[in-house]
Amino acid sequence: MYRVLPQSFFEWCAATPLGKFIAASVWTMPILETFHIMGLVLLLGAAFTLNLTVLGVGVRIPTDRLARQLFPWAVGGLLIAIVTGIPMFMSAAPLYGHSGPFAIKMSLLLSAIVLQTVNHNVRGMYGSKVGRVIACLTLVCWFGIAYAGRAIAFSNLLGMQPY
Amino acid sequence: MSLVALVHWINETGFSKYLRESELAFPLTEAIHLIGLGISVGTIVWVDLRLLGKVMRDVRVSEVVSRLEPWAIGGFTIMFVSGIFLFLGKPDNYYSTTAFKLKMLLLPLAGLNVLFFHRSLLPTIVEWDDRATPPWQSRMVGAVSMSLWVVIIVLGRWTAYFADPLYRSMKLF
Repeated sequence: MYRVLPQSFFEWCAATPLGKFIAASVWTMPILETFHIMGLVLLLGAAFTLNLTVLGVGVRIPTDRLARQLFPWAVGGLLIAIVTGIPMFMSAAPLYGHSGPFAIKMSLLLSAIVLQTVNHNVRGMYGSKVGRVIACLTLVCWFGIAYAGRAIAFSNLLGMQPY
Repeated sequence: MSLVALVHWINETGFSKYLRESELAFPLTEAIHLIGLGISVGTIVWVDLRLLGKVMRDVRVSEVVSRLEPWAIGGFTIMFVSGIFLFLGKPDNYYSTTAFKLKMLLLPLAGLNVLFFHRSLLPTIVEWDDRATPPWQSRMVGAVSMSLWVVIIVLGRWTAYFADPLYRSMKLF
């Protein structure tokens, strides 16, 4: 991330009252992380069920109809994860800015959002071959995000160096 | 041998030491545990919401249950096995963590809830299979399951914090 954003941005994030408050607080981070995981479960579950259905191994009902119902929950879970993720990032922004897994996580997140949105909004995608390939890729992205997210917290996870 | 002694004995085995001292083993197990959580609870939530009559109201309950349950079971197996390895890595720490004890108390309850659903409610499913809102017993099972899992996830996350020597040294309580 430090290659695409200036160092001053990360330092500014950490210097904001919010960033400083979280860095100094013992309880805020665990509470944020707890909600972050809840958002993740909601999002992963919805995305998993939806993409499996696109692949033909999920719930056997027309994908469009299922998607209309699951998509808002996935968005809701994603919003929870983002709203709790931003303050966590701010508390140690310069650290995250130099974290490899964090950069991978953000790239995968962007890819997953784009892919899932394209699949959802382009007419005829669900049920087509392209749609199934995209569903596969999207699934890999979503679970990669969870994996890279965990890797941020550790010194070394399958070759992922945090800093 | 008392339970504490057994836990402590496990703590001192070479395998346990390897799990917690290896740079890769523990984080990797935690990542697998988390992904198992996403798959299992992620799908369980949809069964629960269907039982509550909140989503997929026009899909038969049996359809949702039979299609999603294999994934929930698969995810749970991943979570269970990786969870055992997590415990084996730091048994002493977990044994003395309240959040962990509570979690171990609630997990069987979630199991009993599923058992009750299968034993008592599924046999009569033909009577309410295509109802948008299932009878109150089934709604209850959905609500209990969701509440239990929310609490279990919170306790799981807190276990990781409060079993950590650094957090313990802060003497928060």
